[in-house]
Amino acid sequence: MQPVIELFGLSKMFGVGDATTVALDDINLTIEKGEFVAIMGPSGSGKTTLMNILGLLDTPTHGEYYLEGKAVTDLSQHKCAKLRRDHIGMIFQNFNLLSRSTVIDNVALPLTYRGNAQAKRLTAASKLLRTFGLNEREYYMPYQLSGGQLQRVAIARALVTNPAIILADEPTGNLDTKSSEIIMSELADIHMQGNTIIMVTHNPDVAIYANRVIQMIDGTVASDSKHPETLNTTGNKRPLSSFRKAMDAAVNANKEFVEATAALLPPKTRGKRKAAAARRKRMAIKSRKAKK
Amino acid sequence: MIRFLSDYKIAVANLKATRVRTALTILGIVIGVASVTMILALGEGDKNMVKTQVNSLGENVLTVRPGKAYRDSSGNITNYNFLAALSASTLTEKDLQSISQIANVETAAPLMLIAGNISDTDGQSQQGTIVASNENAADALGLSMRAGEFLSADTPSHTVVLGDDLAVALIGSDVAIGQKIILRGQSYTVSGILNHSSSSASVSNVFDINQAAFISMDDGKSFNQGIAQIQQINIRVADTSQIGATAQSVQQELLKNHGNEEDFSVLTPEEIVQLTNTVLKVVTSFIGAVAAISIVVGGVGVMNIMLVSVTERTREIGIRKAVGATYFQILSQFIIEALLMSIAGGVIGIAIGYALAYTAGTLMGFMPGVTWPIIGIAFGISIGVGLVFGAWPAIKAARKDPIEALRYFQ
Ligand SMILES: Nc1ncnc2c1ncn2[C@@H]1O[C@H](COP(=O)(O)OP(=O)(O)O)[C@@H](O)[C@H]1O
Ligand SMILES: [Mg+2]
Repeated sequence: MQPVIELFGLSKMFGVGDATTVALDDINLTIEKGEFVAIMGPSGSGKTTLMNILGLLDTPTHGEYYLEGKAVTDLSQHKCAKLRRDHIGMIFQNFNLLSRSTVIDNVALPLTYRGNAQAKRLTAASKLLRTFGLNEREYYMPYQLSGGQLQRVAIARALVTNPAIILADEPTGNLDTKSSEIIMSELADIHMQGNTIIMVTHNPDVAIYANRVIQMIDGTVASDSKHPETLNTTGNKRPLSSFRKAMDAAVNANKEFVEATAALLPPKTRGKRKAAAARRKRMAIKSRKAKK
Repeated sequence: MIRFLSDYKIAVANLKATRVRTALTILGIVIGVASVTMILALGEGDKNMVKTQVNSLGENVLTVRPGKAYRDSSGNITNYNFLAALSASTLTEKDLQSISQIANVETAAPLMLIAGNISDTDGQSQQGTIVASNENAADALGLSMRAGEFLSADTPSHTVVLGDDLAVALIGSDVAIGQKIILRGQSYTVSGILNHSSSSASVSNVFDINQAAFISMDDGKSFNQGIAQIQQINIRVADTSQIGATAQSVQQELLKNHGNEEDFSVLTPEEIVQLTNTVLKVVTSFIGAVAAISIVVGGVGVMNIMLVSVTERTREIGIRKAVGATYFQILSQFIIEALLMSIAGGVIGIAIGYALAYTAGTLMGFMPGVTWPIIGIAFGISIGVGLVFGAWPAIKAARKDPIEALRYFQ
């Protein structure tokens, strides 16, 4: 079957000259339809940058990105906007709802840009809100809802166009434990219905809902573990303990890596760890280019 | 269409959310469009007035006046200080004679203004003008009789025909045939009284017919050492289609009489009417300047508010782009918002402009013109302002980078 996402040698650099930051460094990744991928990693490791590129909000400096088999790296802004509208649903840590629009208008917003008639938009939005138990809140304004409710509205908005992939950047980052659990079980449900979800999270408790965990460090994929049993099966929400172990191992490996790098540097420059890492990356890229 | 409607709703919602600001911005447009509407309506009213005055004057009337009228290449009068030339008029009875002999000239009436006291037999002076003319004056000025008869070739000397206001003032009644009055110390017999006449454009600025005392040319000359000093000659032509050629003939004949010195002007009915409307020209050019400035200021107001709005709504733009709004969809959202303000300002401005034009028209004594082209132009200007001054902020909004925009905090 056609993978939903394929990345080949994807890199992203920010800035010019000495101020260059390598946010993504030669990422190769394939994500199949129906996967629920959790991307983990320390802050600054390039997770958000990767999500932005996957969501066509940003373009890579090098490399290829195939979305549903189609090369999308060199598309015009206009085409990207349309792909975003029709094939990608985004969920953000801070919800990003329009504060001056009602709940139902927020959910229907992507359909507006598709040019659907109002009646059709509102019916679709209303139907989705019902599945999230928010049908009573359709005409509330965002400020009248709790964080958990807001995130459910945002999820409904991401789903309203029936997209090929759902990208969620720390969707539970602003939520308390209980709301997080609700949101995660919603996402798990959506996954069960066959949707592809890519989610960034810091929280191992959140990551266990996924069936594949990608660990990122300094713009590279440090580890990539698939849950052997829940992958491509339905009905089993909770991951097996062996998977949990694999994941914990990944988290620990990350921690060790960070500590090890820190230990290598003199105490004073510890704060500049990230800069040092970036410099190392730059050198590596330069030498790689030189070889070519 | 669906897209437009939803863009429209978004725009209305956003404008409502910033009511006061929106209202103030609209006010700027209102002032601009109102002045444009006013100036156009007054101009149209002026044109209508010229038309009706030309009609009442007759399209077959040429007027000869002292002093040179300077014309531009297309023949429009640019400078003509005829009031200054009046007191030293160079028009003579010989000129009148020459004009009468031109083929297409039907009648020619001289008007000789004589300074002097008008009083009743008790010596009570009244405001008025002594005008010497011939039997053609009634026809040339469109005069009609309330009582008695106008001057004719065989009217005895020391006979006077009075305008009705002057008759009432002198005699206390407008049935006064045969009564005596005193002109410059000489006794005159009233032979006729004129109907009240709305001032003919051919003599407005010069004298008031309703306060005039018409006497014969011979009597007039006797007040001026036997010399006829004519301030104006009114000519009626037989064939109106030939009026241009006749005007040239008059010009040539008079140049001959005046030794090729152009110290007179031959004026068409339109020119005569326009000379009386110089006040309006000053007023309209003043409002014109106000209109142009306030349109630009109003437009800059729209641009300013839209720029503020785009900055304030950076995050909103980011969200819209993230869920798939294209460049043109963002662009149209903001253009529509600017357009809504400028169109609202336009509609209100047109209404206020007409109200002001009616007020001003009433003060100046004529009705402003209400026509679709004027409404169209004013409306077009308001749309143009919205498009022109809304374009840059809208482009700025549409160009925003979605990632930067999403990161923006108010
Ligand atoms: N617009 C930008 N300009 C410069 N550097 C950036 C920009 N965005 C991200 N970065 C840098 O890229 C690296 C990866 O950032 P990010 O993808 O946000 O990490 P994460 O989401 O994993 O915390 C960081 O070092 C960050 O400072
Ligand atoms: Mg991040």
